[in-house]
Amino acid sequence: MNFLKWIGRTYLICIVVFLYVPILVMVALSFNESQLYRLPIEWSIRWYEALANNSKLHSATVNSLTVAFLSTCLSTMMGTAVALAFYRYDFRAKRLLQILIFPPITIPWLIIGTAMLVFFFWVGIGRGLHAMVLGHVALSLPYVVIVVSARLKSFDSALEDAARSLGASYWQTTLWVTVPWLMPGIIAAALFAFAVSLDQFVISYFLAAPGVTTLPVEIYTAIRKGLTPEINAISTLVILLSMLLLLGVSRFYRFGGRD
Amino acid sequence: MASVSVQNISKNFGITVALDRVSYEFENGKFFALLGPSGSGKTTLLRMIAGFESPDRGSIQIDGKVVDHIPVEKRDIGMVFQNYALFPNMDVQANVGFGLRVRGISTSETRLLVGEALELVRLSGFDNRRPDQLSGGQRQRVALARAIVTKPRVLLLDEPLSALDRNLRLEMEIELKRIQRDVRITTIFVTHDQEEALTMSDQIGILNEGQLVQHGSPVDIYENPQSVFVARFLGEANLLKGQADGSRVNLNVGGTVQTRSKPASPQVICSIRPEKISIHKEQDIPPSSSNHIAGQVNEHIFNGTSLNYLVQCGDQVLRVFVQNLSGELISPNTQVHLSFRPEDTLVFPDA
Amino acid sequence: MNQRAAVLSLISPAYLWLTLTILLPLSAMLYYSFLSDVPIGSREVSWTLENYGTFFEKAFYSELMLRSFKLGAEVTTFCLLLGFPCALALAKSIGGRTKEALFLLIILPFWSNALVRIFSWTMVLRGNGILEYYINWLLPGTGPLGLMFTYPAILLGLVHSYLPYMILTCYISIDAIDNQLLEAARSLGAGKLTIFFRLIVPLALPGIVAGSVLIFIPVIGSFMEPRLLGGRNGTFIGTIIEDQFTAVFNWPLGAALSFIMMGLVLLVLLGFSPLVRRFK
Repeated sequence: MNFLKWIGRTYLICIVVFLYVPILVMVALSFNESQLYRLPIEWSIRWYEALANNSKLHSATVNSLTVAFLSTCLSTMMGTAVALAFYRYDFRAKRLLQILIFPPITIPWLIIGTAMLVFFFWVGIGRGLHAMVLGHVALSLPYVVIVVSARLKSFDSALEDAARSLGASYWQTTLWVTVPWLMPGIIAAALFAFAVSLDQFVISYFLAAPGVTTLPVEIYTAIRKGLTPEINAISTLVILLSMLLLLGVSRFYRFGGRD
Repeated sequence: MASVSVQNISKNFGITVALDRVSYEFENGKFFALLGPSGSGKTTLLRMIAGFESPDRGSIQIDGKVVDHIPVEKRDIGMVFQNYALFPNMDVQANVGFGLRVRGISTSETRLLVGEALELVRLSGFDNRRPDQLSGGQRQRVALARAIVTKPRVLLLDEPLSALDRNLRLEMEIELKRIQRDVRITTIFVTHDQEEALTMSDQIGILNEGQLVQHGSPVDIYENPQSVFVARFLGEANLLKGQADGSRVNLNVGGTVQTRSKPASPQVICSIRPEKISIHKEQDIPPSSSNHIAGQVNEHIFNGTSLNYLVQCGDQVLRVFVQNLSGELISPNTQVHLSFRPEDTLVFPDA
Repeated sequence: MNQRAAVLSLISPAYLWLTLTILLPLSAMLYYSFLSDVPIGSREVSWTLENYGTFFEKAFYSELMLRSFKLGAEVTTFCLLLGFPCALALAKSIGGRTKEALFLLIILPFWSNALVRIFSWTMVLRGNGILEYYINWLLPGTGPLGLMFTYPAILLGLVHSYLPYMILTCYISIDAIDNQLLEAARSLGAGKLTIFFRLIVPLALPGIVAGSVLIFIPVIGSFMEPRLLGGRNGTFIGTIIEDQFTAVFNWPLGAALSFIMMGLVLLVLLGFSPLVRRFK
């Protein structure tokens, strides 16, 4: 048995190494002096300095953050409301509606992205940041519903009954009892939604208007134009930010774990 | 403080009948227990009085006013929930003060009233604890303080003691009764525990399958059950089938007995409580005015204050409780007479 | 507040949003797939089945479709083979804080930028990249490896991207298996292999299925990964569809190909559903 455990642990370490090595390589190369990624590495921060002067990346960063912020606010509010409705009430078509929240996860983003492109073009919404917000909200909604519902699963509905019996109205109960109790779940969901939006490439790629892009789209275009360590530098910052956000989520939400 | 009147209430959940034409008057200031097995509708009735459910038919009045269309939060009730439902994000002070806060009462007055309520439940000084820092009994007291601090018209308790262990439960029974007497609030208590109902309440209503089958004072119901169900559910009862023969009953296990009332149908069931039976060895002469039947001791159980016998009579085993006066046990396989008074021999029609 | 009003006020914003961003766009796409051209300005547009016909007429498209499904199946299989033991080891061979930390470490990259992770692989695999450099340093004279812009490179990148999905879903279902159940099986004399195949795998099946679906579907529709890691060898149905929308502007064909792809995915999933139902 101990032998098996030992194998198991070694194997786990191998998987972690496999998952992280490429990322670490990419990060290490962002500190390499050579434009052509010449090895061995000569340490330098010149590519980070170059970032400071790259106005295209600046506007892409601002765009990314704007879209992420707006879509996080919207999807967190709407998703929490949906999770509450599913928790509180039994109604006809509930099963159906629960399933219908998931297409954004289960249909390839390629298809969703192109479909949005076609439709938004058709009805005159067009491309641009507003279109991206529309798309990102739809993508993060299911995650918000899942995370908030997970928190609601351990909610004791007697708390709401108790508040009502003490004279609190429907809205007082929701705002003073239910929402504060849900707060860790809501924060986790919001961070999650933020990360989803920040990392979203496919949808943004199809909905980006010429000259108005987000970070992932900008990185993709840059890679296709030709590799430079500047891309490593910006990628390093992006991945650092996502990891921090998700560490934040894990403070409030146990991924897949039992409560 | 108020009276509650439940009039001819029915409620179905899908095809299950939760309540079937229940009427009851909960008088002002008294302690009522609603007793019944699970699924009998007692909790539904309580939740209806609270306003969480609405009846399909019938009507509920509090203090003579129909409240059917008044939502929970406007009914001015206090309720203690099975698992207390303390708000985990608030401390004791905020939990107890919640009802005052939603009523817009000033902070200083809230502080005062909360202090009083905590004193009443003997939890002064716990103001800043969080619910997860309290023991089960303390949570129970906080829940109670929270329910009564708003001076509600009715206090509703939904099996509030079921989550406590036995010793704590006995202590809380006394405590609850004391507080109820102090505040003199009309209290309705739902339980499936007959002992709780007997010790605490002024009046008991027994529900079975959605119907109120009997109500009255604990002594009245215990001594005069009106159905086999009530006789068995509240306390213990030996049930013996038999045929009516004029004013007497021929028991299937042998013997003829005189019953309290005249049998109303040819096939009957007699019910005799175990503690109303005395047990005699074969050679002792039982009092002639009593009913008696013959049997053989199967087993005896000694538990200190009393002696319990299982006595084989025909194809049935009867339970007999005898107070431990002599410390003398009748050993198994001894032939015995069981005797009991006609007024303790209840008779019900056999459905 | 009555229930109907409450439910409506809570759910309608989200579902209206989804209608606008998912339902209507997919319907618009379906509509486009039957058009002869993109209806811009004064172009003559008519109804046609030609876009769907193209797929069946030209072997090129069906070969690519097959290639994509093969890629999807291979990525899913590799993820399962690598991920399931990992989830098992994580759930049952360690405990406490180490377990939580390792779990977090494994799923963190899963949510971090997919594009950046694929980009990372180009750093490793490309000519004169890290891998080539160190292998030649260890074994001088090996020469160029030629890994970049090949099918295995795409496979590697995709497995790396989606492996944490499989570990996550399998972990959730394995972790939920009560240890007492396994102990009971051992007390009844079951060997390790029996326990693994007769207890753990069937009980973890929902996780395996969920993970497989969550990997298979996006891999079929992937286009960024094949482009970055496959270069000229990276033509799949996903990249063809993307081309129709961004380069060739043959939206109706792109739409038709998308729906054919979704239909085929659905067929594959339906084919596997009896297996799922058996264990439910």
